[in-house]
Formats: sequence, C-alpha cells, structure tokens
Amino acid sequence: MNIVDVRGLNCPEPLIEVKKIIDKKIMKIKVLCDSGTSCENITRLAENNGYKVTQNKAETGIELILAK
Amino acid sequence: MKLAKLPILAGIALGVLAPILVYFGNPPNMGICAACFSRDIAGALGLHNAGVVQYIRPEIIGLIFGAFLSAMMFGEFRARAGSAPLARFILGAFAMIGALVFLGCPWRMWLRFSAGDMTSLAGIFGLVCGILLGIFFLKRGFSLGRNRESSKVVGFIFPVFALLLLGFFIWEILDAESPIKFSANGPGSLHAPFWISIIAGLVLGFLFQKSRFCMIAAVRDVVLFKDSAIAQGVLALIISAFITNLAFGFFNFGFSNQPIAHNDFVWNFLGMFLSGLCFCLAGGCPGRQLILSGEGDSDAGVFVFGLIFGAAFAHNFALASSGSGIGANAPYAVILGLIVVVAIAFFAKEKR
Repeated sequence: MNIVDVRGLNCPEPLIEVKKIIDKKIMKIKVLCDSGTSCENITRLAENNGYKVTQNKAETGIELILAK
Repeated sequence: MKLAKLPILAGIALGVLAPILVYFGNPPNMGICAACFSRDIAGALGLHNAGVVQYIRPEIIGLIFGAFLSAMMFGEFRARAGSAPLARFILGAFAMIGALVFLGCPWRMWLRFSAGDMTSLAGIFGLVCGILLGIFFLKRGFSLGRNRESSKVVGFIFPVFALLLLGFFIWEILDAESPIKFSANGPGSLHAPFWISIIAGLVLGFLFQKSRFCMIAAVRDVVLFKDSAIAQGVLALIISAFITNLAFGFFNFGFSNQPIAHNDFVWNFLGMFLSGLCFCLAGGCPGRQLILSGEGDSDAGVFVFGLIFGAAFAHNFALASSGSGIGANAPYAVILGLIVVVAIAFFAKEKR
C-alpha cells in the first residue's frame, strides 16, 4: 500500500500528490491528511476515479484509505 | 456531475447579499470586495493617505469572525504556521497591487461582470491566465513548503486582530479626535449601516468556511482535476448577482460609465494576471485567505497583512487606478511584480 503524507500542504498540493499515485493505477492508497478541505477534496478526487474512501481519525490528523 | 450544494449556496449568498449591501449604501458594484475593503482598512489606520478610501469595513471583520465561528463549531479550527511567511507576504502585497490596478478582487470582478460592467472582461481573462501560469508552476513542483501545527494562541492572533479592528471602529464612532480616519467623500464614505455590514460578513464568512468557496479553486480545480464543485458556486454567484442587480436596477451593460472601474484593457488584464498568479501560488483568493486566517492559518494571516501592506504602497506610490485610469507608476509596479513573483514561482521548490 502506498502512503502519501499531505499534512501541512496548501491547496492544491495535496491533490497533486494524491493524483500522482492514482495515475499510477495503484489499488490501495493511504493518505495522511490534516485539514477538512484537503480531506473533502481528496475524497472527491478518489471517488471520481472509482475508489472507495474510508476515513479514520488518527493521532496526527485524519487517515484516508482509498481502495479499488 | 454531482451538484455541489454548499459552494452553490455560498455563491448565491454572495450574489444576493452584495447588491443588497450596495442598496444599503456600499459603493456601486462593490457590495463586498476583499481587496478594496482591506485597502479601505489600511487607509482608516493611516497606512495610506488617500482620503477617499478610508473606512474600517465591518464586512471584513464579519468574514473573519464568521469563519472563526464555523471552524470552531465544526472542529476545524487548527492553529498552523511556518510555510514561507515572507514569500506569502510579498505575494499578498503584489496581489493587492495588481487588484488595485484592475480595481477589485476576484469577487468584485464577478460582481462587476454580473452588473453588466464589460470592462471586467479583461480582468477575467487576466485572472484565468494568471491561474493557468500558476498551475504551470505547480505542475513543475512549485511549493512554499509545509506548515506545522502551532500553539493554539498563534491561531487566535488573527481573529484578535479582527476584534481590534472592531475596537478601532467603535473608537472612531465615539471619539471624533481618534487617530482612525473615515472618508468624508468618495467610495470610502459609501457604506451600509454597521449592523447590516457585519451580519452580511458573518453569514458569508460562515458559509465560505464551510463550503471552501474560492475564486482560484473554481478555475484551478477544473483545469487540474476536472472537478467543478467550486466552479458551480461561482456560476451560482454570477447568476444570482445578475438577477439581484437587475431587480435593484443596478444592471448597466457596456464598457463606459461603469462605477469605480476604467476601460484600459491592457492594464486591467495585466493587473489581474499578476493577482491571479499570486493568489494561485498562495493557495487561494484573498477572500479565501481571510477565511483561512479566521480558522487559525497564520500563513494566510501573513498573506492578508501583505495585502494591507500592498494597499498602502499602492496609494502612497500612485499605483492604484481610479475611474479615470491607471496610476502614474502602475506599469512599473506590475512589471516588477511579475518579475519577482515569477522568480519565486520558478525557484521555490520543496520536497512535498
């Protein structure tokens, strides 16, 4: 599973980073995120690309699991 | 395509409230403007001496408080700081200089457009081109680096600054001898009653925080990710502002006799081009930066102080336009701005 850490990045860098991995057709991606804005945007991007997104509260913010 | 309810709601709120604010006394086609109103605040604090554009705009205070409240209510207040503050300050300053050459932030640009002011078209092209250039640098790996979580008190500094502005407002109202300056004539003297202004600001701040409404994201996300969520909000803004302007009789189609605007295509374009590039690199339009400042983002706060600094320069150095055309030194400032900002965009690369 690929892990992408987008914490602390401002728009639209979190999405650019996640999109790079999505474009590699990786089936399962873990994203470490810290802002509500990026979480929503990443969830939308992933769902538009056919991923199912689950969201967990992590100690360091929010963890998104994108899976196909 | 899914309907983006919150951004659409935010767009409608802005499109309806802005002409209502004009009806109650705000300057024409300037119901709310993140650039002009920050500039008025700079003037009220005596940072520039352009007597016609000095007023502490309660809308700005409301926007910050509204965002602060929304962030608090939904657990999104996060104190954060430390992403290239000085670069953001400079981006804010040149963004303001560009916006004052065009005469408006991206909000006012759409408000002008939807009131029939076709001189805004040059600005719209400029903004879009500026964002496209910003996207080019983002794809190349441009980054101002990560912010870090900071102590909560750091996140409160900007909302407290808004509170201070409110205090200054009250001081000026109560004491004619106060050092605060409110315009006696010109756009700065045109304003809606305090309560209407601050409530409109609060409502918009709340909605913009919740919906992530941003004039840069609207274009950028469509180009980069084919994501139209925020663009739908902008479309809603244009349509609702058009209808509301028609209803109030503010609609005036054409290129001439447009309020607080000039018809210099080249500098309208270049002003907004510079602004759009700055906003895109900084991660959001000036309205969005105000909202982020309210939710604890110190870097956005630094950008806003950059805006205020840029506004002071714009009026002290004859860079800001007026209805009769651009300022005497505007071309030099815009060209210098483009050189500086492109250099930042070219060289600022960090490991993300």
